[in-house]
Amino acid sequence: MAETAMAISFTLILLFGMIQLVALSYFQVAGDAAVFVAAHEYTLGVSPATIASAESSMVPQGIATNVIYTAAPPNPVGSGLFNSIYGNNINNNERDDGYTLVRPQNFTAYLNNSAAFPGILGNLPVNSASVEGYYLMTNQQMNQFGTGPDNSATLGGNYLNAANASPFLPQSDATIANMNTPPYYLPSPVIQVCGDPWQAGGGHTFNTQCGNPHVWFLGLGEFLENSNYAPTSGLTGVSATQAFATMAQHQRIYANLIAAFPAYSGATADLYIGYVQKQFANYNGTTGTLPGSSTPCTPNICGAGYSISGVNLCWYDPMGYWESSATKPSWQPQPLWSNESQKCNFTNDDAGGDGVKNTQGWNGASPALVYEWDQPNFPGAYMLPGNYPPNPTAGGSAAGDPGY
Amino acid sequence: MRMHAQRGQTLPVWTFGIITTLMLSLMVFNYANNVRWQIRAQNASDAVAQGIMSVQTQHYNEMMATLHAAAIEEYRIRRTMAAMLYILQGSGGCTTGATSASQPFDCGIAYASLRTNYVAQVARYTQLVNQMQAISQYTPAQQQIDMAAIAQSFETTCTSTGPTGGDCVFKFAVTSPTARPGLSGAIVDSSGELNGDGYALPANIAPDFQPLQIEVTACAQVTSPFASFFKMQAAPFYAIGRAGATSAMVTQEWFAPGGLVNPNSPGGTQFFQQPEFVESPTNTANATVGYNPATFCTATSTGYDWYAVHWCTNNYTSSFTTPSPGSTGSPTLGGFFGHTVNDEYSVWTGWWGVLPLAPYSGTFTPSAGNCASNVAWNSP
Repeated sequence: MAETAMAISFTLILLFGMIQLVALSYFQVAGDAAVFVAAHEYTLGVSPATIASAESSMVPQGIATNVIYTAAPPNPVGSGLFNSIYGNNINNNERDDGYTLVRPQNFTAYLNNSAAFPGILGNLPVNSASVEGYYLMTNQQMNQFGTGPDNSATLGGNYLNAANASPFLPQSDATIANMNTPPYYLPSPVIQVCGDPWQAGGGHTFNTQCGNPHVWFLGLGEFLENSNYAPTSGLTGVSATQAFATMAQHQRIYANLIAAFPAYSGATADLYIGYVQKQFANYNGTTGTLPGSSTPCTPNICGAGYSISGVNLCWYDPMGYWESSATKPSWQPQPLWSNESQKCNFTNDDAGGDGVKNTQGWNGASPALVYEWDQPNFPGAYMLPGNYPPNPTAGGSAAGDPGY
Repeated sequence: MRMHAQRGQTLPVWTFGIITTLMLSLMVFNYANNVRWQIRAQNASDAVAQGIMSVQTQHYNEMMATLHAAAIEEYRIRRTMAAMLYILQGSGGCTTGATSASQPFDCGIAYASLRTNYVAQVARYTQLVNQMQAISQYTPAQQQIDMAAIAQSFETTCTSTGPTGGDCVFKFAVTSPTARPGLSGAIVDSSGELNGDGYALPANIAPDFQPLQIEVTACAQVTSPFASFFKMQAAPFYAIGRAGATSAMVTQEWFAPGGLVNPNSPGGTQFFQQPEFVESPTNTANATVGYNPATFCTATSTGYDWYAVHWCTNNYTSSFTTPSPGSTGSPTLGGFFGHTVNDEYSVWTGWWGVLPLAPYSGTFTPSAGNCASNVAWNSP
């Protein structure tokens, strides 16, 4: 009897141990599954409470409720590269550039010590962990803080934690919406313009220093933002009414203006320079004559500025700035003049219609041609609707023209 | 005899115990196999979802790169044209006679060089405009066709044959891409940051400019490792993975190419856009004026080169408020402020990449058409 009892006890213990082992295996597999799902879901923006609730019906309660989430700081991105590119320009009192990054980091979901298999001889901890990629937006708002990409010591805390950086969740990123936009491209082009008076014949005393420099904001054709996200054609090409139409319009103007600047050989350089100057001085008209001569100024000699593809050169640029108004900031371009009957005749004209007459006597094409009027919302809606003329060159007119 | 019978009493205990243990072990093994396949399905769908969304991000990046190249060229054109006009205006420091310290440039030579450069610049700009037109021909409908083709490639090009394939045991069902909701508009805050900040988008935004989201399911009907155990039949199980992905701007840049150093330039010290002396036939600084980086951008400085292309910047001040000591609040951002006094070419833009997204299309019911059948449990 004793022998039988011992044999059965031994057998039962072995069998019970085997069953315990099988049950433990189940707990282990359940734990593996739970942390995988938890890590995956959490990095997609699902809350831990929701994950635990969902998992409680799939795995043992002791597993579902004991998942821990830990973010690992992003791997260093190489501050040397940023230092090399930005140098001292990242100084916040002297900034001219910046960056914002969405950075990957590892995120771990694992089981804590309370996740245990309730064995007959006591709880047996079950360990499991899963690592998922996670995205963190750092150095937000063009790195307005001016800190390094891996900085963790400024502003009183870890720069990479949730207080100063945010997980990038496109579907709910209210706090970091600045990276939840359509594609955009916004150039900020400015050039200095020398406003020294016209010197017919060239070569006035310059002293290598312009006496009257001005700042001009240019309007480039390459922009993509709210104002052209919804082209009237619904398409994104460069043809008229499409999103990038301005690019083709500018291209046509630049190509046409080549004829306004005739080429010449070196031996007659100064003479030809004088011819072209005369052309511009005559408002690009054919009524001018060559300097010291009664010979008419022709396009081949003086430049073809008078009429380019049916659009007068002056049309391109009424030189709004040169009728500079004391009532407007020096950096702000003036409204363009759109009275075609008065084109190319700006001297003593109130070209911009702002009550100030042009007294500069300088006409012709300028680097400011096609500026802000074709970008009404850039850089600050200076040109409100109704203040800028229709585009004289909308649409292509010749084969090979990008907008044709 | 009696004792012998007593010893034999453990045999049925062993028998039923071992059978029970084996069955439990098989159930755990089956469960583990099921979990393994679900994880495999999830990884497969993640890979496909993010792989096919690259179609749009590549398109956007190509668009941004072309816009940037064209903008650089146009700025160059404008500066060169200005230089020609200065010469025709008799301004900028050139002379039609002998050069001197006060008039160091030869008007004729400078004009000829500027014109040559202008013609070349316009030719390049024309190419870029045409390129932009070509890029724009890639419609959302064509992108969707390419996405489907890539998904198909994931099914037929297996990872076992190379590093670029997918998990071929699954069939992938791809939802039609939809515009990601909740976008913010891009605005311009002069001399400051540009971003959405909740700014509303215009109505009727072109489909080409709508970042897409997509959802992929990977499905396989996997046979059980113990499909037949005595008279018991184990039904195959479904391994299903669901993944979403979306395209998003993953870097955002306020980029001043004339003020930022290109680490890949010779010596690693040159700006992304070096000054260009387009008035010189050899693209070199005037011998009298020279090149002084400290004053090159300052128009009021003596010796300012009015004929060169200046890739310069202006200085702005960052404005933000840090939280009070002990506060856990986030700093308040206030943008950048400054005055424009120099030539400037800078740009706000960014690069695009694919990010994972939670599935959003509701219940998924596998059907024979989008689920691989009879997949062996031990398929590689």
